[in-house]
Amino acid sequence: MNPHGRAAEKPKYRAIIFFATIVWAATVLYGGNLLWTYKTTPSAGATAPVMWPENVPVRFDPARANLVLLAHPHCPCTRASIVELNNLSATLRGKLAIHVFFLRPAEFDEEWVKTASWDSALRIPGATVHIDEEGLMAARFGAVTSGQAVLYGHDRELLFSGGLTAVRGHVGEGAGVDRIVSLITTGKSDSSESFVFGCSLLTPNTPQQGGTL
Amino acid sequence: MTDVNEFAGAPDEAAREMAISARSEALFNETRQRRYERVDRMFVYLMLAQWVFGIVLALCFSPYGWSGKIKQAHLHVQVAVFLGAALSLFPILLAYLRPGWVVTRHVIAINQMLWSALLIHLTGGRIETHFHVFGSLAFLAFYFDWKVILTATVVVAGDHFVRGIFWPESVY
Repeated sequence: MNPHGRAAEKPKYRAIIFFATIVWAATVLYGGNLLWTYKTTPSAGATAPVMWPENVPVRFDPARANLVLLAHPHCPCTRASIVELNNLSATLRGKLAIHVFFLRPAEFDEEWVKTASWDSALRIPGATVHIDEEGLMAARFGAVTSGQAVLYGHDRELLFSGGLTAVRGHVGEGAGVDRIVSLITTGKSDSSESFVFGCSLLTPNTPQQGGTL
Repeated sequence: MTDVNEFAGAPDEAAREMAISARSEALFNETRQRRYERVDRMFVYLMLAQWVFGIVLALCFSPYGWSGKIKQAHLHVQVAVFLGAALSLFPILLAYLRPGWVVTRHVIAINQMLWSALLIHLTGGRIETHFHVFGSLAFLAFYFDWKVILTATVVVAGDHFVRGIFWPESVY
């Protein structure tokens, strides 16, 4: 026993500890970088039509701006988008007509769609929640990523297209929400877009064919 | 006038006091060392529990990523398993090989804070998960070693500083 009350140092443990430290540092750096990249890499944005599409089975409200959120019911990241949509609704207090469309591929029934995200969307004041049969609404609004929001002014012109979260799957203030609030309250914004973070609404076929809704 | 008797046995008294002082210090060091080892063992169980909890959390909150109607294992599950393994097994190894060592408890402090960061990510930045940081500091306080709290604080402050520069929306 040495003066510090420790057993005499065993040289063999030094090698183990050194090797373990290297493995630990490499894993933490690699895993941290992987997580960071995943969280901050946006998904594909929408090619939204510049005017509110004609063949949309929801009533356009000409008295206020209309916001449509396209979502995948099982996308974990979209939970954060729903939370931000709720905050947006509370901030703008009746100045938005909100429609949330949840994708339902033909292979699944309606119960597949009614997830926690669906329930959360139902609780948003002023929001109407719909099932997007086989992704037709997503296609009409040019959305390919869950969490895509498109905002149309009372004149049916596209004002904003983008996501509501700052990073993937995280709640918290972001550029998308700030821009929508600015557009509604002041009529202008520094940009009409923001990054979208979420699962793909498209089912991949082959790389050559691209995805299908 | 000074009483000589006042100094009678003075050298023995001083020696006895020195002996008592040395023995007190030795007892204190032993007690402190046992405390370090005991808290290290406590963290072994906590690290294991956190690893299991992180995996369960990932499986409950984000088990799959989706592309239309196709699902695949979510990155969070893999991160919880492998990164969680690194964050838990390294301090457990040190606590097993070198209990009570000063490096062991500082490594535990660092990994405990990294666990807070990972759990916050796995839960999508929920405010409630941030309280894991404060709970961790409370557990680390059991070491009665202020430098360990300082290490943990530096890790959290450093994380917020770096993300405040590169990814400010994730902090504010």
